[in-house]
Amino acid sequence: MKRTFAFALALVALLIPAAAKAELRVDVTRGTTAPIPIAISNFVASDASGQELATGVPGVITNDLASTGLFKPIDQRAFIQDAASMQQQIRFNEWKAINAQALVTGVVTKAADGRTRVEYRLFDVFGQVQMTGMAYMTTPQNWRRIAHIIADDIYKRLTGEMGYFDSRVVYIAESGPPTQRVKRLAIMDQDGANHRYLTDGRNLVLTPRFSPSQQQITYLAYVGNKPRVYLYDLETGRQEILGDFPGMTFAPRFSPDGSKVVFSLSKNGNSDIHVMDLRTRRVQKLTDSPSINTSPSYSPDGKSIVFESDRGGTQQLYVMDANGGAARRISFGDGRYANPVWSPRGDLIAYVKMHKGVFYIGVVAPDGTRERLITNSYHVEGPTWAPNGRVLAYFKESREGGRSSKVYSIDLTGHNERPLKIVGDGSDPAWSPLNP
Amino acid sequence: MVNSSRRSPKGRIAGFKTPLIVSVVFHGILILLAIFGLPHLVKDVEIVEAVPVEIVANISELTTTNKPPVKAPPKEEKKPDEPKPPKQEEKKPPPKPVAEPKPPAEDVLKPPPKPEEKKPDEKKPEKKPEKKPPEKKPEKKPEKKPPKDDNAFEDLLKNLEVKDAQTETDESDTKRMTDPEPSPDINRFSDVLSMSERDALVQQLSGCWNIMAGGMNAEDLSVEVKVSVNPDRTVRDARIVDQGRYGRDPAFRAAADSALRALRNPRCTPLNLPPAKYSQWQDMIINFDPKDMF
Repeated sequence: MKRTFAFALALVALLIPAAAKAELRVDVTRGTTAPIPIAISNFVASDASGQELATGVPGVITNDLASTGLFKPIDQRAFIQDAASMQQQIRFNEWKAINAQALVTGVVTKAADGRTRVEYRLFDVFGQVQMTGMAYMTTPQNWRRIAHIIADDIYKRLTGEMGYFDSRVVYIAESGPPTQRVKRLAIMDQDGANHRYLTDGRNLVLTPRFSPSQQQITYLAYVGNKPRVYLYDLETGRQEILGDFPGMTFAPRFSPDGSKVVFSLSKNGNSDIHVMDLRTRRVQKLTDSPSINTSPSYSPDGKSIVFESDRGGTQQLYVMDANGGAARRISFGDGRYANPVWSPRGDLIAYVKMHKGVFYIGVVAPDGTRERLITNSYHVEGPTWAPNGRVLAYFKESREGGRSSKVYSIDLTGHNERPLKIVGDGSDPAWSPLNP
Repeated sequence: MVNSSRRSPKGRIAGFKTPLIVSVVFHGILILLAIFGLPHLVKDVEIVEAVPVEIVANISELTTTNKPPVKAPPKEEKKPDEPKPPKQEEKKPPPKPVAEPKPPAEDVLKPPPKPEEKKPDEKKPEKKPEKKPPEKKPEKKPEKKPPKDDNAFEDLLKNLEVKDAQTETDESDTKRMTDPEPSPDINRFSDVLSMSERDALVQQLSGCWNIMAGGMNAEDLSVEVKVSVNPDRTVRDARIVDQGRYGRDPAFRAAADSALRALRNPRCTPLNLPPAKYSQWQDMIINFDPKDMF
């Protein structure tokens, strides 16, 4: 009893000074959205064969990070410490002096089997600690991929979100005069490198869609004026016909696991949403209303589908269960809503809005809240999400100088719109998932 | 017809041979077609070039090189106030005499559409950027953004319908951000930190704290940091309170690192605090919560 009392007394005695000297608490509720200054030094090559990569890899990383608008790579001419000496010791004060908050260094070596090993380290300059570091091996010609993977690592470590640099974009490359427009399916890395055409332009092709889980795309081709849907496997180069679908205007979109596709077919002025199992090719009708229901897109958990419909009198967005059933409206603004695409992150749905002759790209939460319009133009269309769900690509047509349409990307915040490096004109972009 | 019946036996054999060859060739083609199919007749859309999917070899062979970094002298606390420039000065010439900081970086690397900081204005050896008026100017720019009171949301997450109000606050912002100089000995009459003293610190840190807008649930990422401060108002130690979440949640980890960077940012060293009230602020909990930005 005595002991307990003594203990309690001691506890109180300990608490009293603590309470008397309560810690000051300060709430900082605002910050800056200025991009983070980051120094990306050239890598050190262990022999002459690695020289190209020693500048090439950091160059790609620099472009990737700068393109996000979240980072401000510092001009290498401002660097005080050189790349080689950093392998012995990093003089953080010199990096602090040029206002770098993060620092990237690396080494390129050649393995005995002829492959290239690229190693990088990311440092917190103020904290003077290494934040992350990795080494990757590959054949020398694959070096750009390594650079993108490293850029993704850095992006992830500093933002806490998945990167999107190691990914590709397919789009419809357009060329020729307006009356004889040639439209070819094209694919490139998200930064515009490794550009290739997948079709020869003999047939009109439209609306490629990437599978969220596999390196597969669907697209629509007009063969003899009839819409035909193709399934293209980018890994094998094989493609097959999913079928001829009269009355189809957009290619099907994949379910998140890639096993199904969802699409709309129009008949007698109505159109309804259907789903096809890619293994059995069985088609099931999901909507059955005397109105237009089109542009379906799956949620990333595969449980819901967002689509556009005029069932309420105007063209608006609706969400329903993936196997059909009741739909609830999620858009209520003025104008018409179209072309919804569910973010791979799940938190937002991008769409096209038309109001008083202006096109907008907007985003809205699946419950209809948090609606924001992030860009507008005379004609913008075809939003597609980067694999991390915080960047959108779309195409924009300009009025000046005849018909010309380009593909752009924009940050979810509505800032940092920039053109993707397509060849010539382009439309209907589709962003791939991260490369496998 | 008539002619053929009059052919010699030799001619007759030759006459047999031709159809035989034709037949063999024809059947051969048929067999080949049966085996290889009719690619060009079947495919309406011809593939010009297959896309080789380049898979990075041995990506599973990742070697983590997380060995401790080659660190500069480990005296963190001293750095801010103890200018080490002399040493760097000596070292600088050998590695890169070209290293005169030149500002044209931005053009080459064209970052985002926002006002940029002009960092390389100052020469490297100057260790205390906050104190010198000439260096103040470049710093103002990045700090313009945060304090857009009511327009912060629009600034951070653009919404075109309400966009018009976006640009007009700069004047007042600039003013406000210049206000909180290292506060002199005001408020000596009390031991408790006054509201304005507290605000001065908050304003200062706001300008050093980079928020990653657009992240999922970014508005919920508040980070508490336990800070110990030296009498010279430099940060001695800053520790994330929620170490568990720091270890398991990458988004929180990134936000927490960003908070720590704010506290260690040379622009926020020394902290904007009244020196006379050291006992009040030597230990603090600073909560970085971006709630007013969303």
